Amino acid sequence: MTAEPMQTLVVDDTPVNVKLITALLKANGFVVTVATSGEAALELVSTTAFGLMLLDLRLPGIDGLTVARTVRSSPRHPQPVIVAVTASAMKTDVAAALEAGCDAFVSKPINTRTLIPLLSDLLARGRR
Amino acid sequence: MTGLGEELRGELEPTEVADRALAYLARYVQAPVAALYHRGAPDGPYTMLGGYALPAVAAPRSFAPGEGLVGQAAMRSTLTVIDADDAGLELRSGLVAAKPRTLVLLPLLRNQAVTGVLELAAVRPWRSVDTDLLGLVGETIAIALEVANARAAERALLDQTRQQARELERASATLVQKADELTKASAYKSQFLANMSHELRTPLNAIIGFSELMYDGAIPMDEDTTHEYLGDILTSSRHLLQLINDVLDLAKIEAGRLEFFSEPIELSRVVSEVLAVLRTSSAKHHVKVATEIAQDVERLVLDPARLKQILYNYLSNALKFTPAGGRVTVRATPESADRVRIEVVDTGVGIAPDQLDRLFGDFQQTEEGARKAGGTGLRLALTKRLVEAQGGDVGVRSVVGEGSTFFAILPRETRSTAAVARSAAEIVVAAADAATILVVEDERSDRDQLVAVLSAAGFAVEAVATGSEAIARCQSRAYAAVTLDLLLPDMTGLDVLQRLREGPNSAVPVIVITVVAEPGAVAGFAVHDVLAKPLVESALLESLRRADLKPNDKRSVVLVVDDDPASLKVMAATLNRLGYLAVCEQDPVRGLRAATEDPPLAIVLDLVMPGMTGLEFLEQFRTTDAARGVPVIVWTSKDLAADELAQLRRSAQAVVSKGHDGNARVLAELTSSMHVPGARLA
Repeated sequence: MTAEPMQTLVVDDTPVNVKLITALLKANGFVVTVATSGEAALELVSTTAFGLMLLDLRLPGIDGLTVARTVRSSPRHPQPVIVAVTASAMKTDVAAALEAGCDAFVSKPINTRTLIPLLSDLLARGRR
Repeated sequence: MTGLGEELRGELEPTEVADRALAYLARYVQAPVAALYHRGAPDGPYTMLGGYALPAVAAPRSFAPGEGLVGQAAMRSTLTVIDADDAGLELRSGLVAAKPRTLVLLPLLRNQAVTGVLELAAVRPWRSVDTDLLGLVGETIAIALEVANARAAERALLDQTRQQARELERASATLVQKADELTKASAYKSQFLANMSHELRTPLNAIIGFSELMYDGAIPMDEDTTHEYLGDILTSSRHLLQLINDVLDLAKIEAGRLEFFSEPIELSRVVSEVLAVLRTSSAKHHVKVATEIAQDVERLVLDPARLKQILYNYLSNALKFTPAGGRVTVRATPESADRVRIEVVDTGVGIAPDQLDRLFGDFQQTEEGARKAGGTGLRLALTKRLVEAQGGDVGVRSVVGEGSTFFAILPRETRSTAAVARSAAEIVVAAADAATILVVEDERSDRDQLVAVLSAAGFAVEAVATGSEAIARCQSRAYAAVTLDLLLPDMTGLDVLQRLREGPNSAVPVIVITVVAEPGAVAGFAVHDVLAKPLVESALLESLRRADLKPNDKRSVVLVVDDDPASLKVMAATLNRLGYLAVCEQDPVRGLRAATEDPPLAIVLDLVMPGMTGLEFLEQFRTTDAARGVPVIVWTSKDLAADELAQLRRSAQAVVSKGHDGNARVLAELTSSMHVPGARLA
């Protein structure tokens, strides 16, 4: 894993999903903060520098795509790596996520065996 | 004859040509009455096109060539002049009422063909100048007629074209609308699939994710965490199953395949049964639940299971969205002479007007609803369809902050859509040489459980639901033991206890099984044992052993044929727990051989297997002698079409869906199908 703990923001409104991904990330040395709505996510992003964001797309209120766009349009640097993690798995969803500024798209159900290597790889390459 | 030429100029209708020509001629040859016959088609009759001062008495309007004077005149090309005074001349003309001096018939010639006949009745003697005049006008009229006819034909054609264009326009508008509807339906389908995929993936994420973590040992986990994750997997799995069931129900209603079994019901009783299921939920939320049912809608004829589903969906929603201290009311009032209005009123958070419309749509949840876990977003859509399929209506009124009222308007009486109602097997018999136990229990699920436990342990079982039936049975034969529920619908258990000993069962050991499991409840009565509900199976078997009752020690073999090892494991565990000896077979071909060589007590059969399907298995098995009297319970996760179901009903005793309470239902079907083996077999 990375030498320094990676500040990670998990944005998801389903408690059991948050529990799963948090357990997986923490066991692999990530430091996890959770937001259960788009509003909360934007609030946190404005005050804390996150290296990584795992973003559900269907959220109550401000949705994930808007969150990604807002983060990308802010002048803050460095920008976090944003991974869309969503149960919406249609082609159009993937395209919309990438267009909104996500670096990668992971569909639920997540693969717990490949998610961490994928994240490490993304983080090593850094934000394009 | 410029005068006539002038008269016939312009765009005239054929009838106008006729009228003007006749009026002109009438004036010039002093014929007060005249008619013009015209031939539309080359071989057709000559039909009156116009008349001048015709008598009111209708004359023949049309003549075939050669028929009457008009027809005769048409056969030649020259003028016919008839002196009307000629004796013996029979006038068959269009002008019978007139008393003419002279009758003149002029064939109208056009390209050597007679296209019409002009008939004049003159009141003065005919003069040669008149003949000359007619000779001159004949062709003018014929040409004018031809032109007018051509124009009329053209106009008719144009009209027809215009008419067709209008029809095309209409058809194309319909097509556009149809295409629009199809596009909408297709968009709806895509949206439904996208939503469905999303809804399925969400619980699968927890199921696969947590079990993968545990299976791989990927992250450190203590016992509590493991237990917690297992709980999450279980909850998500159940949610997934609920989702699948909801979608299947939805699809069944859409396809018109959902069956309704109507029966007379008491509404307050159905409502209280639903409330009983939700009691923990209402208590947890500290919400008061009240019921107000108008007396004249208490008795209805509806499918109670579907009604419960509707009530459950409304009520569980109301409880979910009503804060502590709130109130939920189930109200039923007459809507009309033959309809009932059922309302669930809550004092909950209410729903914003812009969200009200889509509430009954598929996968639609309000933001508030989406935040609360558990819903599939299909329940209200399902409720709407359930109600509408019975000829009813649903709706909702709501004020934010004050609460919501969901209602369903249903017919007071509906008819069953299926001929066979759900039925319960009352008497169950196991092996013939086993000791027979009489089960007296009115609750269907408890009765099924008792029968399952006892017959699996090797006892023969008879089961009855009422005290009077129990007494009747006890008077006709002796039993090795009796299990007795104290709360029966027709008489008290204590009365039964007293009277069942009057006949051949005076010393029979009676095991009382009751919710009022206090020893005092049966004080003064000789009972062998008192057991509490819910029944502990081992306690019952132990009690029977103490009464010196020995079951048939050959354990009943049930053959389970299923290619899925996990399913085999689950079913074997369930069967073994109840005393059956489960023989598992993953390969259907080997399973068939085993079943044929040493017929088991019963077979539990999967449908979708590699090598041989369950249907093929059944088909081949039913041709063997061994199959006689061996019930087959089909246990499948396949959603069956009506024809498949019909085919299965002919050769299998029951079809049970995997999952949910499937295991329990397999057991219930097992025991009930062993009742009078062969009776339900062809």
